[in-house]
Amino acid sequence: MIRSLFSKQATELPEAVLFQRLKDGNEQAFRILYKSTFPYVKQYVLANNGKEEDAEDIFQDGMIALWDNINLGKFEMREGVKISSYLSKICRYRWLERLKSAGHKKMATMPDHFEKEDEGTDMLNDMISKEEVNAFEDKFYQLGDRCQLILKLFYYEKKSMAEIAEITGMQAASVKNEKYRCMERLKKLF
Amino acid sequence: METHMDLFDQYIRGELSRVERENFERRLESDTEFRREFEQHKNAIRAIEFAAIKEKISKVSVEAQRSKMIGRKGLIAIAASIALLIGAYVYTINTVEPAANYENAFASIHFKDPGLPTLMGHESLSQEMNTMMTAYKQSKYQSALEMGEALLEKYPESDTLQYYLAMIHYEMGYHDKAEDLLTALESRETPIGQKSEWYLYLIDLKRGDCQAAMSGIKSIAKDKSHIFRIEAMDALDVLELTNCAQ
Repeated sequence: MIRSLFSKQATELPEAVLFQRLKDGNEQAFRILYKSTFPYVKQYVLANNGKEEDAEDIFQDGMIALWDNINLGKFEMREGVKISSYLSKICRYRWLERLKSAGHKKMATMPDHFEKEDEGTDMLNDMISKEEVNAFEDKFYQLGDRCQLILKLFYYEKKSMAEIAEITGMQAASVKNEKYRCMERLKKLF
Repeated sequence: METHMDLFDQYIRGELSRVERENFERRLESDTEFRREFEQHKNAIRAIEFAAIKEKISKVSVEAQRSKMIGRKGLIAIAASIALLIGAYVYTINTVEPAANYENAFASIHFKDPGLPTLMGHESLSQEMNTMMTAYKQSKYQSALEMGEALLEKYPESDTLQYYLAMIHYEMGYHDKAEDLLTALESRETPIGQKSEWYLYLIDLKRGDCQAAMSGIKSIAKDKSHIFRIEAMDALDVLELTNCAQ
């Protein structure tokens, strides 16, 4: 754990493995991307009228959007497309978009190279926005703690009913009922 | 309604048989109300996933910030003092229970092989293999074991099958059996061969043979093409704090 935060080698996981781990929402995969890509994003944001907090913010958004695209099957492994470069491109694009919408004087127009750049750029537009992610997330956080826990264990950690029963100390049958009730509540919020 | 929710979840988790899955997909195409309900269900899951993913990502980012503040020197100092503490502890308990130390190391190094995706469209897996994999993922090892052994008679040549059968034994604590299966796979120059190697060293560790475990894990940590290289490096950090390192 300690070493992977520091070592250069931590960025050398084969792309296919990294891709699969990202898809599973694996923490280590996010850590690897953070290490390999954040320095570039930070440099870019700092060079374009941003602060370190902005870089951090835009980077987290970018990772979520990347995960979402992988999850929806919009971004697939391709020869010659590195995940970290793609993430970095998402972040740069989003930062420019943000500057544009804030009507920043120095950077009012999108540089040409974004229009011309290789395939994949067209996808940047229909990626999920920060606001959309927040809207989804807010709905989830309107649920009670127990609902949040059960739903996360079942749908994100992919645990079985029996495992959830063990973790929560509930009966398996009540876990099932709770899960049903919680999902119904969540759906009503949409 | 309740039946639909279960059905949706089974479909998403890849727990339907081929026929059920095809029926499901056909119904999605023809029945608009069913499709609308399914979309709603997926939307709700997306909300759950976003919340979970965001937590993970911000944890990673907080970790990175913190480690930057402490700096490498500080961390080495902390690690050194932990090592001292553990060393003192080991020294006092060593004569009583030497294995306790490795048990803890094992517990923090070990992770379960997540298994293969069982979602629809994974044509290379037979339906039976899919069912076995689902049982394995849900930690229903006894039934996974029965299915796996029956399957092995049918497909004795399948590395994937042998490997997951080994994982089932391993998770159940049948280390000898797991070791036999993994030893046969270890020399393969495939991800399965590499994974087998890793779990063999974990079995060594579990048995308290920490010298063997440590030298094996070291060799993985040096191998740039090894899929568990990072895990091996992390494991070495843990092992260095035990008296294995002496």
